[in-house]
Amino acid sequence: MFELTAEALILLLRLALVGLIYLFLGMIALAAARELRLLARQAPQAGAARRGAHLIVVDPGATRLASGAVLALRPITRLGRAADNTIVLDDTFISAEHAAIVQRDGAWWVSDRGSTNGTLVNERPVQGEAEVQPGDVVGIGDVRLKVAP
Amino acid sequence: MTMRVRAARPRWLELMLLAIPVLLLAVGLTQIALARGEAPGTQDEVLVAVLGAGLLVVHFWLTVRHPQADEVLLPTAAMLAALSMVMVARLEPGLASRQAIWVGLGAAALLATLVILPGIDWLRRYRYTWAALGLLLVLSTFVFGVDPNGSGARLWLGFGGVYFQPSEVLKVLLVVFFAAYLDDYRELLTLSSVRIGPVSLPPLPYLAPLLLMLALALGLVVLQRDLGAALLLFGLFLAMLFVATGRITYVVASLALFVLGADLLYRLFSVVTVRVETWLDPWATASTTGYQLVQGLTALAAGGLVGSGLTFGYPGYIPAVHTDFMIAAIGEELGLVGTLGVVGLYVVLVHRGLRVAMLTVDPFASLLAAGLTSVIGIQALVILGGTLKLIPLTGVTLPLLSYGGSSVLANFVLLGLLLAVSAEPRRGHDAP
Amino acid sequence: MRRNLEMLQLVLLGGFVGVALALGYWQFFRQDDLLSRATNPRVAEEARRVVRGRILDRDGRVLAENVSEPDGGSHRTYPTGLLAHLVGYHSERFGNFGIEDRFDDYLRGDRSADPFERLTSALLHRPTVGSDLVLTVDVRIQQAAVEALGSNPGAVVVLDPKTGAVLAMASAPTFDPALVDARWQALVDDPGRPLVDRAIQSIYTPGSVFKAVTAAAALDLNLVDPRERFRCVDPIQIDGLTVDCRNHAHLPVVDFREAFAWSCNRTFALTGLELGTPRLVLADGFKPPFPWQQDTSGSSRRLEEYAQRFWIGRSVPFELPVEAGQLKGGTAWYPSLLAQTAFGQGELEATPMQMALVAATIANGGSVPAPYVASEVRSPGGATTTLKSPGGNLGRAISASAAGTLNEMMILSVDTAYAHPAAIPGIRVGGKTGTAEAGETGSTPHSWFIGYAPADDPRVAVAVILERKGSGTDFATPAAHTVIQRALDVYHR
Repeated sequence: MFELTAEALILLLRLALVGLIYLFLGMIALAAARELRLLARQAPQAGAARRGAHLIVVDPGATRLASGAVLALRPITRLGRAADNTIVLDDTFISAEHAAIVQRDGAWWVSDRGSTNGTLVNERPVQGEAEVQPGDVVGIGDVRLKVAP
Repeated sequence: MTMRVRAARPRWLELMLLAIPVLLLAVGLTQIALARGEAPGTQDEVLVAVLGAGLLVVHFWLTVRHPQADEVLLPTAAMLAALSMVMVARLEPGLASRQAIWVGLGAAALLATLVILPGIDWLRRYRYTWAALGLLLVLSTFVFGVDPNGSGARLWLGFGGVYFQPSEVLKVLLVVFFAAYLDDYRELLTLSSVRIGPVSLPPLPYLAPLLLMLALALGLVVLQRDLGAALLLFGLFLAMLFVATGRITYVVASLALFVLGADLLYRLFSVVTVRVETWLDPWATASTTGYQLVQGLTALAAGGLVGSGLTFGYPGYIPAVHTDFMIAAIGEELGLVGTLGVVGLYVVLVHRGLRVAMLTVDPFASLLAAGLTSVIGIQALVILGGTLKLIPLTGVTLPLLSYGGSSVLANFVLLGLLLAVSAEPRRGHDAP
Repeated sequence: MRRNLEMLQLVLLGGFVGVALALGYWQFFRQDDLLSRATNPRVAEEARRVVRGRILDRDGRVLAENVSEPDGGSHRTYPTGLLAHLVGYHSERFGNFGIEDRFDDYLRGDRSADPFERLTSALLHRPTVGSDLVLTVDVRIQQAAVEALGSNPGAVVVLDPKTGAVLAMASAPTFDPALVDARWQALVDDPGRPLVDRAIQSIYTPGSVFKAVTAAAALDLNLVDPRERFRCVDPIQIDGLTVDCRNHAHLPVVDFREAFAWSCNRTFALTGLELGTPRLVLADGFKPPFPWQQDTSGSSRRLEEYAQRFWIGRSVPFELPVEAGQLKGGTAWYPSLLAQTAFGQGELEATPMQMALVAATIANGGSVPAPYVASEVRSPGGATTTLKSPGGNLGRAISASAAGTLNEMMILSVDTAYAHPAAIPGIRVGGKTGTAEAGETGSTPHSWFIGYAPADDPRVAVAVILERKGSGTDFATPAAHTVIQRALDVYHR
């Protein structure tokens, strides 16, 4: 019933056309899957080599932060009472836009954003910008946050 | 700063993937020929050769000079380009060779971008130049603009029979400008605010140049009735602003402005009113303003799951089917499986582009990649959304799939820039 | 910034998910809806590309086929020009009619005798080819029928009484089915109404041909001895209506068979009124009180029952719609109405098809044959499907012996009485004439004939009506004669 006529060939080519698109997508999916597995195996070392930093809550003050909680630092971290800050510190003595910690050229800098009561590093007020190292304690209102790697 | 060149390594994945678009073109052209009762001709062979050669040259160049660049972007774009060549051969056989020329030129432009570009940093240095150039181009359509398609808007510049749309170039130039500016003022934009009583507003003084540029661009575009480009620029601006600052406030404010602006446009411009009403019920005006949309949707429905097969459908009833409404022809002849495949290709493109942005260390390069990807992603979403009655129709083309020189060229240059960024130093492992 | 990028990716990918869902919606869920709307040009395109199946007569002669034009299109032609109403027409603008309409799904390839073949054809993108349709009609008999009608408005129906196969069905005035598109408005406005298929769609007062039904009732109920003679001269009065006995002035004494052959109104008026009694009293000279003056219900019920059995007042099952006609309108029975109805007037209305079935039933020994016209469908690949097996019937109207007696009476009418123009040398023909008064008093009556031949083993049954032409004997009967002659020459089952 089926000779390999032009008609049958057309049908085959139709299938092939769509099939090629999905073959392409499939190959990419496979490559992505392989990459993920590779990533998973490398993850522990990658984690250690990552240039991140954290803040450890030494004193939550009047905020709802838990003492000892570990907060991750982002390239730009905003701190304050307003809800759209990266780290929200809900205490009336803390300004809406209080402080910021940014990463620049591998180092971490704390700056005050024009707060009423000022920002402290190791209990000393910050003028403009101050670089912080792991171990330094940032003070905002009654809250104390220690910089950690 | 020249781009650092790591030790050359073979780009196997890219090579394997590149075989498929070439095969797709061959299979598609053959099927079309057979269905028309002919044997595949010399023109078909030339088309396949042109695509194959163009891709090989670019692949070779990447292998030698930028071996660490992303290996999936070029093949995915090539798939879309190959599919466009197949569809143009089916829909407008007379234009098939032209589309091939455009794709060939596109590959050349991509290569030129990679070869000539002195480095990503160089782009950042001349940021205001790019902005000015873009605006100048759009301004020139005011003065010299022509309307070769009779669509009512003079959006094209022509040189001896060849037409190109400056708005396509404008997009790329603005992305570079935005990326540079946002990178400069990123902290300020993210951190500072202007306090008005209890409310804390974004720092308008620093936003001003950005907003001014945007307003100028939008104004020019709106005055030229190119509402699609306006929507695109706005979305692009919003995306890049968000990526740079992460502030939801900006997003909310921008959307509010958008709603206000859209409402204003709806009241003021009859064009907009008509578009919105047609979008809400195209069948009410199925023989006039709703015709294109209704025929597009009907063609999609006619395709069903597997389509009617190339040349066996009736996409000729759809206006602009070889440009803006290409997805309807794909839907009718390749079915839902075909259209979902196309969506999949765009998804891959967007994902890989943003992945480049995520992995690149330099923030400017990262922003640039995000912006370039957003151009393609948002444009695709806007035209697909319009064709599918999710949003009102705007006159934008389907990136890489549409017939059209300036669209293809601009997108390939864009791709070239994206590949250049992907060759930049990145964090983490060395996976492709 | 990475988090922001991830959010952006989520938003954009979410957009594409929305697009994918929308694609599924339009291409899958709304598929049937969108494709069936008027805005879809594909329906018309596909229809234009279909190679429509042919319609053939019983011997394979082409009645309708597509002819391709040089520009790639095609148009439908009707080579014989004889079957405009039965075969019908196929018009893109005005729809289909007749058999072209009834079997449109087979003709345009939507339905096939071989579904597998249809599937492979579709998969291989072959142009759709419709199936051919074979009818029971014989073009030669149809030609005789059309010529017999000439330009007189009227109809002819020819059936095989044993199988029910329609051998010819003509209606006049007619039209050219290939020119329907061009002449539509003129055809619709034509006062002669050429588009109406008078054979099955027009209802007429049957006149005396209906006496066959009344006689059938009386015989089947055993109310009369067909050979018992009685005097039949005096007119009778029924509620102010005078029914006289003019048709056999040369035969004052007749039996029931002769009364039938000579189409005696008086006899049949009485028969109708007395169907409810145990025995017909037909002779002159009976005195009142007449039983029917109290109560006609017994008789009227019987007449209704037999009319039903002969499918008068019911729509005959047939491939094309047949008007039902009526025995009586909305009023209740009263004696003079019953009397008139019994001899074929009153409010009686029937189609030529139904009257042909009456003749066919008598020829078929009392069993009503089921008429059909489409016998077979042939797919492009050659597979055939039989549409209707011959021999189906629509019930038994009367007993075989009653049919036998009625047969004698019909033969008598042809041999000796009013139906003699139908006689064919060497062949026994059974028949009955009718001259139906209709419309205003004084207007020309319809000319009717029903009959069959050869009477001992009938092969064809016929009904002919010529509108407002005059007496049945003078017009319809000679016309029927030519048709029956031709049919017997060519049709041998």
